[in-house]
Amino acid sequence: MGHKKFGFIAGVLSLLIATAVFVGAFVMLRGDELAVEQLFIEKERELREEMVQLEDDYRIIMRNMGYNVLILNGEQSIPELEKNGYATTYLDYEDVWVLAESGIQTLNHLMPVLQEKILWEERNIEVFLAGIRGQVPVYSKPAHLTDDHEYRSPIMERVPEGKADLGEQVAVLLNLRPGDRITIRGTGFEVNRVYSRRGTRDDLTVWIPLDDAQAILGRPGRINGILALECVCHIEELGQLRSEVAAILPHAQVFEFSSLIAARADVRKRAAALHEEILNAEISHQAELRQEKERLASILVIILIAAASVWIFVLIHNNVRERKHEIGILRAIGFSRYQVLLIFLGKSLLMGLIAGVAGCLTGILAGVLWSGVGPGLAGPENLVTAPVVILGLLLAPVLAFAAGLLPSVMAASQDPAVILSEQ
Amino acid sequence: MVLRVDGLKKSYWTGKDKTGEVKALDGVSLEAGSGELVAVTGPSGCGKTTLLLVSGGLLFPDQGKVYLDGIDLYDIPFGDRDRERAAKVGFVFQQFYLVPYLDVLENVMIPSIGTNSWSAAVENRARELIGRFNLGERIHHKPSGLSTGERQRVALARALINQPGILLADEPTGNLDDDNAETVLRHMSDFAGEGGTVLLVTHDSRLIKYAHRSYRMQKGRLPEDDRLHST
Repeated sequence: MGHKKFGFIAGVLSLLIATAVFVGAFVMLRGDELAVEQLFIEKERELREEMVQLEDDYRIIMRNMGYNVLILNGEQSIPELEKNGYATTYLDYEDVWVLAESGIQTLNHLMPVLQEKILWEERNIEVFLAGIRGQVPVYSKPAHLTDDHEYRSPIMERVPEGKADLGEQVAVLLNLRPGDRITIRGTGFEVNRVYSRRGTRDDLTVWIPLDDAQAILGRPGRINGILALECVCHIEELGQLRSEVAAILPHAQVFEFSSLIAARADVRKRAAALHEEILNAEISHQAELRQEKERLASILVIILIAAASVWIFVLIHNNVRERKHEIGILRAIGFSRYQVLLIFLGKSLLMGLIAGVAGCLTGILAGVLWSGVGPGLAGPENLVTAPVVILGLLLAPVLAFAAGLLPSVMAASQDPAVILSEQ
Repeated sequence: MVLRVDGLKKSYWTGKDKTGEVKALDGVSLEAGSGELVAVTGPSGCGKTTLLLVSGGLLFPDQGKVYLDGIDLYDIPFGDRDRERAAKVGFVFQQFYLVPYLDVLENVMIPSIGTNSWSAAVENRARELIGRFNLGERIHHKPSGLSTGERQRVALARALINQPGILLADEPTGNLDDDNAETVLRHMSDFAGEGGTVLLVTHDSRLIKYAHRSYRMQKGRLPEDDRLHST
């Protein structure tokens, strides 16, 4: 074999390259797969974090918005409510206590209100007069299940007896400050506080104790709405809230009056959907990319395998031609065809075995180095699978055997008499 | 060992349509017994090499028989013929045909691979042959480092390693100077002297002085009356 070192080395190299590319391609594709998996895990984590953040934002919005829902008489016309700015049908004041003691879980703080738009005759100005009694705390459990009557702590103070809170515009227009005395339809109040500008109907509202409002408006024991504060439900769960309230107060209806909450919720949902869409697009893109890489790798491997096979065939064939006199003499001195076949096939197989081992190692090394997979993500043990190594080790010998078979058979089949006659 | 060829005919066909017949052997009969060195001379292309190849079991004759110690070489299976040849026949060619990447010792021993008899005893015999042919100092040299005479002596040692009964030599001195030719022929003569059979084909009629019998071959024929020399 020594006199054909170049041919042997060239043969080994060609098989080595084919094997290395074959194994390397698998390793790199596996690395790519792991990197993409990791990318998706990262993106999903980011998405989850963003969704949690959105949830927090949502809760903050809900809290800042204050009243989330308004519980009304079931016969209240919503267009009329929108037109007037207050309900024109009424509930019993006791209804709020029924609701509070029901142990409803989706409502936190209930604020019964009697509100109408009136002409404040003493001041000759139209204002919204709202009678409130502060919050009616909701039991944390249904009343029949709780012994300690644990309340959820109130978050808003009532208007004290004999006092009134003013919206910003009312105070400005009437030049009123805390401590000033006012009279509303004959009932005297002291200005308790003036709210800062809200830019809503509240700026034209006067809040007084509920009892006083019922008396002034001539509706004793009646309210026209229950404001639910810090509703713990999401806007998507409004249906559930409606069902729960309907079960407790069949004659009532729930009106969600904050379109901003709905808008925010919608934004949140759309953001989530967009993230999903981006993630899916990324998955799809990565899948396409992977398919393209696999296609290119397949083409490259096939070309190299074909080239290596042709090369081995040519090398062995040339070797047979160059050694035909040697074959002739071997046959003449008693070598059988089988022995001659073994000589050439053995050489092919030796090339294949050396190239298989070296090619596998080279392919694994190159694949790990070029796969772009960080050391923290996955080690070679995750990139290199046993089937790939086995295939890699078998590829070169099988290829060498297949490519070397025909010229080897040709060598074994040569007629020694013909060869020796050529001298 | 007795080699007997009987009525051998072998033709080659030439031309594009293989219609041009060249009769390499045209009814050749010959016998060489133990202790005999038989020479066949004749011009190039007269069929000498064909006679040697057919006699050695390497080339099927169109007609006729080849008996080696009574065994019809072309009436036994292919593998058996290979084994018969490996065990009983030694070949020496003008071109030596040494394996270039093997050294002298390995080249001499290589026929024992063919007969699956590679052993320490064979190696000892190889060393003995190498010593007898004055190649001791060259035992680990490759053929490229040997002179032509040395190469032919290696080829001769290789032909004798399996202790054949018959030596078939085709122009064994064709590439050698007189001294080396003399040495090689003397070794062949010694082989015959030890009971072996030698069939030597050559175009050089000077070699017939080493032969017990010699024949002149012409156009594939070996007429009985063409016997040139007998001792």
